[in-house]
Amino acid sequence: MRRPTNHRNPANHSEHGVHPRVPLVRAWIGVHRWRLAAGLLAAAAALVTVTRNGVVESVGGHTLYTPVPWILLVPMIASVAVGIGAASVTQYLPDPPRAKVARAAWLLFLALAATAVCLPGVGDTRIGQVTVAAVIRNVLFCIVLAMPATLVRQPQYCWILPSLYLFAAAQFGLTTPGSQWWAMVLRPGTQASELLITGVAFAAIGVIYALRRPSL
Amino acid sequence: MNRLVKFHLRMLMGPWAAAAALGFALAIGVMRGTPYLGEGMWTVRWFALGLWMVWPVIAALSAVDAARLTTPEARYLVLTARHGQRGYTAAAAWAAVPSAVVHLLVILTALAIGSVAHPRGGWPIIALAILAQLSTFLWFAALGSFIGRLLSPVLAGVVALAASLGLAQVLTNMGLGARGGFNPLGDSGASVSQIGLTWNPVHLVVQILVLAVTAMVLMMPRPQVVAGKLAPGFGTLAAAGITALALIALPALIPGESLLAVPVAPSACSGERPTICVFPEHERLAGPLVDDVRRLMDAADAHGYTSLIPERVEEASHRHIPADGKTLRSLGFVERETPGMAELIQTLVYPSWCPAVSSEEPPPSEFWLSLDSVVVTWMGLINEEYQPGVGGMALTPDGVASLMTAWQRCDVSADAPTPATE
Repeated sequence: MRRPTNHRNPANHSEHGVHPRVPLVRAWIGVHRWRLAAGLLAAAAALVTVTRNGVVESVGGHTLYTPVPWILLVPMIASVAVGIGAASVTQYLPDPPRAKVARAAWLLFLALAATAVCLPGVGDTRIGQVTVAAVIRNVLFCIVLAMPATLVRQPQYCWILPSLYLFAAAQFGLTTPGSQWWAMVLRPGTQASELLITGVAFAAIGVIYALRRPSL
Repeated sequence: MNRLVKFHLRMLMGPWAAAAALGFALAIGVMRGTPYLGEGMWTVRWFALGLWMVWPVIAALSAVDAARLTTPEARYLVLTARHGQRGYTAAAAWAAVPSAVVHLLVILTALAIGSVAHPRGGWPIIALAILAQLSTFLWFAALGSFIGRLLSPVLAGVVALAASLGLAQVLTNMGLGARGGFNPLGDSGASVSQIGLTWNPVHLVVQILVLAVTAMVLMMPRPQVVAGKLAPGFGTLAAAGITALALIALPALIPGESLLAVPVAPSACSGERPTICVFPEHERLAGPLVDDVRRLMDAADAHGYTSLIPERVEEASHRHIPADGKTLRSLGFVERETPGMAELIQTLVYPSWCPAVSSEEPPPSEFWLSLDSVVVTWMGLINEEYQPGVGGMALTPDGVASLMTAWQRCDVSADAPTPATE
């Protein structure tokens, strides 16, 4: 049963306007689209389970040059979850420095959750071993592509850049065997340089997100 | 008119799917050097290679637009207004039509660049095939709108994206339809020459009709608001059921193959002993291959291996390999990259007219040894390096002649002839 609260009573509010009975973390989660994000992460987890060790050989009736492990594509869904989860549903709230730190931590948490959802899919496939580093690279890279929509306060379009990139990579980036350098996310292995570039890009998008408060 | 376009470009995201359609079509247009530019049917099917990427974008943007119209702040425009349905229809149309126009213009431009004045099979079948492709744009916009009317804008896009990718897989040649049979979304493109084939017009007409009708069905239901929340009503469930039933049942009901064979002989011929003929559309590409054949024939003639020289060498087309074992040999398919000389020799001498080598049962091992020996011999005549695949040895002119005579009779298990002395 819901506990009765009196919002008008100043005694029920803390100095900074947060209801004392609502923990700060819960309040933070409450002003973000956590349900949609959690739902999409659950869908990604289900896809990881169903497609374990599987490969995609064709898309839309179009046979790919080289099969691509499913687990390399799931990070796209997880990244959309991160983009949507990072969007705040509030407007015109104060934005002190500690809120910026909290945003950075929130993005990191979402990215960790997305990675955790995808990692169980790591393993052998018909075209080779998918490494943990490759999945982390893909999760971070797709988040970098999904976040611009959130930053311009349009989280409903988080899917656009990751999906366009993956479509183009699958259609134009695959060669027999392997892939073009720019279609790196379709390779089961990874190189240190790819991880470095992706990590730097993720850090940059994280800093922008932390400093510039996106809301609807 | 200009203001109307500007207004919709500002208010809707659907029209911007045309940018993705243009980008993908241009990338397809320059992919692998567009080898068969000049073939009408190939041009149309080549640009179908990019449809699988455009469909989800159209569906997802259409879904977001429909969902935005259904939000509590905007739903008075479509749910309570007398002609509110027009809002959804207009949004879906703005998602489909600009992309379809871009796709059409790209195909027409490619046909113009390829100087396709008189396509094989005529313009009507080309127009019908293009119309069938464009009808898929309309269908995916309707599908997106249908999904968008049930979900919030944030979720609608990604759900429509996933749904359209799944349906694109199921409703093309990889899914419910038998390979080569009727597929509700039509073919998914081709990269090899299409000479010798034409579309099945019945399949194209059925595809256009079924996509148009089911798109209309998907556009019909208005969402219901129960206690302030969206809920699928009877109309929604009925529309989904009718559409699913039509799309699942049709591939089993429509007979025939989606592509029909039209045997045709190449008409651009040159030289003699042998006369080499290619299709006029491929003359641009055929030069190096014809030179290679001429080099092989000259070498065979100079060394007395006249049994290797037919009267005529013709380019193959789909489902037709022009070789009869007597006077005619196949050149294979003219492609952008010429095959290696060893592969070309195999193509020229391969007895494709014999059931023993074209059935599912593999030919006897003697055949492979003999074929390898012919390749070794001919490669030696043109002084090119060749590592025998199955232990073939160089043959004398008489040995090659006896082998050719045996293959002419389809005696493919004939003993390997006497090797030539060093």
